Amino acid sequence: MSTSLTEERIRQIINEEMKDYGVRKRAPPSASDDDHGDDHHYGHHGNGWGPHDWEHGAPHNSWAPIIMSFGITIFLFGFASTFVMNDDLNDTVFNGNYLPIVLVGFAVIISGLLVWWRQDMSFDGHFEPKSAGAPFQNIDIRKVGMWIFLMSEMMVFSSLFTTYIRYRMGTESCQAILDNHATYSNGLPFSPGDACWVPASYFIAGSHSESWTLVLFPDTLVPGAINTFALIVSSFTVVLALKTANRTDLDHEERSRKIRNYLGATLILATLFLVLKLIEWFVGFNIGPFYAPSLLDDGYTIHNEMYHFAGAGHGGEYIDVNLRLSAATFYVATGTHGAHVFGGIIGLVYMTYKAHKGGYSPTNAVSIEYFGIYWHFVDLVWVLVFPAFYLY
Amino acid sequence: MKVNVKILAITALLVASLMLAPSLQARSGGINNVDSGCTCHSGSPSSDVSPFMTLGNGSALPSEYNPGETYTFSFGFTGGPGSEFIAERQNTGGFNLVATSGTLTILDDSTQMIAGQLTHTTTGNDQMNWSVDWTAPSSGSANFQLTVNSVDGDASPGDGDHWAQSQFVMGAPGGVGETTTSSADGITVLFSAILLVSLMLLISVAYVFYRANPESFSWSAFAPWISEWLTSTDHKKVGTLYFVAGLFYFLVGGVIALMIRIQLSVPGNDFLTQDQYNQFFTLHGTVMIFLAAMPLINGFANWIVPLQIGARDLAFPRINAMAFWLNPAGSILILCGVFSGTGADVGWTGYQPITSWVSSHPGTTFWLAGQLMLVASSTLAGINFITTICAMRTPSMGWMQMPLFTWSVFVSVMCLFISIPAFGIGLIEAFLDRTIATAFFNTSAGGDPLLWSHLFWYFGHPEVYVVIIPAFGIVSEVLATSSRRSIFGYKSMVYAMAGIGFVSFIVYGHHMLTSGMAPWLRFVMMLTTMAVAVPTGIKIFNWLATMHGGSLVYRTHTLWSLGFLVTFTLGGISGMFFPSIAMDIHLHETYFVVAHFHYVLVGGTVFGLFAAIYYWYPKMTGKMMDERLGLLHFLIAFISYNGLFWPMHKLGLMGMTRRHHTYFIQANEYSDVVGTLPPEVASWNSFITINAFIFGLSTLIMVTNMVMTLVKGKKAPADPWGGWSFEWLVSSPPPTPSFDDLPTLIDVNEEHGSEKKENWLTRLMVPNDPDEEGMN
Amino acid sequence: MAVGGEAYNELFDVFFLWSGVVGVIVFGWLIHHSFFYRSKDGEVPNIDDIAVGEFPKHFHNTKLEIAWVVLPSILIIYLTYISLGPASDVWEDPSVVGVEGVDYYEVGINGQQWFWEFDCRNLDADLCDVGVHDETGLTVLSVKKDVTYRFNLSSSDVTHSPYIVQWGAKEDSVPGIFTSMWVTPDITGEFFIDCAEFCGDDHAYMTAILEVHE
Repeated sequence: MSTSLTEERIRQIINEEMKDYGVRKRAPPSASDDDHGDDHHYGHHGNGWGPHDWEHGAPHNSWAPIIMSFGITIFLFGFASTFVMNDDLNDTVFNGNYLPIVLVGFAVIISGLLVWWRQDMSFDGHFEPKSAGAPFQNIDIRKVGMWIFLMSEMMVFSSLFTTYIRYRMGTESCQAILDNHATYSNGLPFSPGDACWVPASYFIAGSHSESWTLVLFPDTLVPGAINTFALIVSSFTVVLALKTANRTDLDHEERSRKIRNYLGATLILATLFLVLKLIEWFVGFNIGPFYAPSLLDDGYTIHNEMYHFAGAGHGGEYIDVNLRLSAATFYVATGTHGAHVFGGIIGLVYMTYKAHKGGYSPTNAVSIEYFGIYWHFVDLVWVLVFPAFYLY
Repeated sequence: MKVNVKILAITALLVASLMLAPSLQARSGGINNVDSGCTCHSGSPSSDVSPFMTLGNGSALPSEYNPGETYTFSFGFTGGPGSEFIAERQNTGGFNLVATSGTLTILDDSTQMIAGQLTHTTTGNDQMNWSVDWTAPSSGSANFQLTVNSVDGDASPGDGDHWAQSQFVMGAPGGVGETTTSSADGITVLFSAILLVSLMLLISVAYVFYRANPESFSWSAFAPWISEWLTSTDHKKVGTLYFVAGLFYFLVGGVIALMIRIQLSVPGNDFLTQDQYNQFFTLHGTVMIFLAAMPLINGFANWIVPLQIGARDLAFPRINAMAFWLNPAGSILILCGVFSGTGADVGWTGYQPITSWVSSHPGTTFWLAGQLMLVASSTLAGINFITTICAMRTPSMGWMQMPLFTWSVFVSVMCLFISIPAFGIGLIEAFLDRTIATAFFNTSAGGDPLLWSHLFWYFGHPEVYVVIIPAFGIVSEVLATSSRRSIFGYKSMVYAMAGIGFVSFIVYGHHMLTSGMAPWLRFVMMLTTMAVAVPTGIKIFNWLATMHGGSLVYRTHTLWSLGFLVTFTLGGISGMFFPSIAMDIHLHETYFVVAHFHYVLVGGTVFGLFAAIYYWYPKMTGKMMDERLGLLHFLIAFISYNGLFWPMHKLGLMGMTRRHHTYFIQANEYSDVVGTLPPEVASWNSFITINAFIFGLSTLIMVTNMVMTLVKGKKAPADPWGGWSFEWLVSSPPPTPSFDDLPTLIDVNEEHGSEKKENWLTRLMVPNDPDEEGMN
Repeated sequence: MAVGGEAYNELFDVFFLWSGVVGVIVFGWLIHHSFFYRSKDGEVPNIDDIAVGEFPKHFHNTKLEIAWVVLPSILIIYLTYISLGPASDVWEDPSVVGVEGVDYYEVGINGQQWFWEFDCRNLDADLCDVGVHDETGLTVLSVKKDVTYRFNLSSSDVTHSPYIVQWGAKEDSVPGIFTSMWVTPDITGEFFIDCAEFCGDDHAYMTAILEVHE
């Protein structure tokens, strides 16, 4: 595709620009070049990162997008084949034969991610592209992109909250039905297995908790409470990492070590968050005076159509309720937040590794800042999710 | 780089070995779980169990049936654990019977029909044999697929439970029935199809490469050439990829549309079965909107926006490449059900609860998953374009100096970006409903089907503006350039576009005026929807005024733009009938709606895209397109297009309803079938089908034109049409990088001092001129 | 008849008239300009001195632009205003809309894949009756002319939409949600009820007959 002219032009530009910056010369990718851009970049500081190194030549190519895209296809294909809703619509059929496809898909996605990171390892913050036009003049383009990305994220969680509010407001609460002696507010009788709303807080913060070792602090709320603090503290450690990366009074090695430690602390706190969440969902705990069954053991599952709901203040009276909708809303909303934490963990693994290799300095400390923006957002969402699902 | 190739090779090997693994064949019917009998038992098929099927009197099935006669079948199984627990027979036997033709009639309460397939009831669960009546069809051989479960009755799936499957055949009288073919495993069909398609693609791409330079062709040069295309992050290459993919799926969607039209050409047609028809109209919608229109728009946006704003590339080129590759990767999921005959059959709107639990096709699940990938793609593309346009305009270009195409891309991407997460969440909820059985849209658990409608249309309505607004931009560019004038009322054009973008978020309820939405909300939506006409009217009048005092140069893109004005105005006028609730109650879900949205989507978006193809093709390839073939294409397509969609208005007013796989006309002298529609509907439909074929084939003229001129077209100058924006500054095709130095925009209006910068909004929107400050 | 009858026809006529007016203006303008302002003799003049890389001089006329904001707005407001009345007939209780002293009768319509079930409650056979059509074998709902009915819609499985084709009346029957349709038949005869919301394989065959008698 008329490469000759293009190449000539590129070479000309590179030759001119290289002189100014004193950077090692390299050939642009072209039809006759059987090697790819990323190898050139790896390990050479000052070489172009990403696409904005026009001062240094052509855009660099990457296998990561195509690998990751088809990895996602394989993953979703496998997932949808492995888990299929049964004909009674109330449980999932597990087809283990298809599980390898899920794993292959996941492996392909990870390999694509590794390719992506490998190309990014050498980015040292030189020639960070700046915004040219109003209203973002002289702001890093990546920063603009990150904030715009958060717009989309906000809509994601707004939609989840829409679902939550619709169902929470539109479904009669089981407690109210029990208070009315198994009658809806419009007077129609409630029959066992009918749907009504049991908030997660009923199991977590409500009277349902089996043992009350601390009067104001139900046991099942412990993981959620720790999680809230873990996320807030991890937001702080990210800021510390950024602050350290900007310090010029430390030598490079010490600074890298400190950055790594702060990022590592963030990573540990984020992992703690997910582990505690899984404990709260699936495992439960029984440590010393603290005892709480998991939500799964409590019967708060997306498939439970006959839950013995005893409510508060009714002695032995109970109704059998279908709580699938309230459980699904809870698990998917908090699970989406968990998936965002998981995404953050994947990013943190890479960043901690890069810090360990001494990849951060004041010139590219902003990378930590941009991760921090995302991380604060995830933290803020939790601040909304926590009261809506755990307390109320 | 070698490592990456290895990773790819290992992945391919893993996938291939998985395909060959016999375990994958174990589940009967593969991905087609319709055939898998009672899915509550996941045991393996067993030779212990032998299904049987005889006539009611115990004699074997006859090899031929008598048409129309009713046979009583007795069928069941022997062997396996189910036959051992004679004493306490509890839930020990189950079956599923599928008949390819004829009609099954239930005899007693031990059997029931679910989704056209016969299966046991709770009562029949304790039996080992069952019986059913079957009425023979008039022709064709009848295949029966019997799946039986022999269960140990311990109420837990797994070991000890066995099942087996057998085929039985009854031939047509006289042996004229078609021979039976053994059905292949779904996943085998899918992967074979994918491999076959990739192979064909590779061969054709290799041929293109060979043709480009026949003398010096060598395979060692081919590999890096192809990998350059697969890995490129250059906005022009990614744009070309988008363009090629979009055009490919445009043809796929077109072929599907022609199948639909053949089916509808005469009343009571049986060219397609209900099942196939439902899959085809679903995929026609999805393919045309998500895989054809949006990639084509993205292709132009990729190519032209950075050139127009004087940027060297998009803000995040690798994310751009990722956004592209998610498209073809997602399209595999969207279309994969079709390979095993079980594609999505729910309509592109995917209304609940049919999508989340009634549709028995596994393809529907994959369709949801594929759309999820397209949501991710659109989000990534959105980040990219918004950031690029906000941050990478050349410093001398203020907001109110951007070319209108860039403005239109900005507005449309904003609409898409803010609305699509709602759709994504709806898809996730429906996808989880179908896989791990959450209950978001399960009405028995309290789920609300209207929640999906709200989430979908909150995205769906901005989405239709997302595909039309770039066409506005294209027409603004083309008409102004062809009239040799600057666009009339540049600012009001921008405000109108932004207004349409804003209004798009508050009008979506007009799709749900008969959906049981709260009446007060319907009134609100009626008022807001009416308001859409005002900014749209401004745009149309401005385009007309642009031509005033101009000197219209007739080229193919000019013709398409004028054609756009005609068809889009007609589509806009017919759109005015819907917000009025009393009329919408009649017109909703009829062919009047079909006519309206094809007038705005084909007559608007596609005509705009055609204009863009003829307008920017010289810039993109460096070759001029043939004007005579272009004129031929326009004349044939424009006339057949109106013949295709205009009569649909009439059909809608007569009461012909959308998404019906067939229709019946009222009794007349030719037919005694009593149908709902007046007799003239039949002839109109035949007329429409003929025009559909002409319109579909006329597209091939354009494709031929593109290919021919690519090989031996005239060389294009840098500015063949006389446009003013930066893409005409660079050579055709543009070099990489496009600009050596960022270009400087001169605003001739500023020289006359007409631009005022006093108020804060203008200060925000127009950058401070550093030179000016320096001088002060 | 509340929907699809005169109200609908009158509205449609008004809308059609204004569509014609707008169409004549736009297409007249378009055709005139396409021919009158075409470039003659293949000449390519440069009227506005357009040059590459220069934002061309503004070409606008504020009065005109304001005119085609205001005039369509007036038309829109008028069309909205005339749409309001008939719209409220569709859902609201007749006593609320002002049809004083009219009793109405409730009839249930249940959609199921793929047939309609009619429930006459306790009404007399004269007011509401369900039967089978002689020629076609379709289910028939017989109702009386000039009596107001409220069809209470429900669904056993997926979303359906009873569409009385010749009247142009429809409303979705959504599972789990109460919807209704007000109907006062004012002509006698046999009318078809189709399904207008996609509901699966035999969507096209989901037909019944509505019979109106004196």
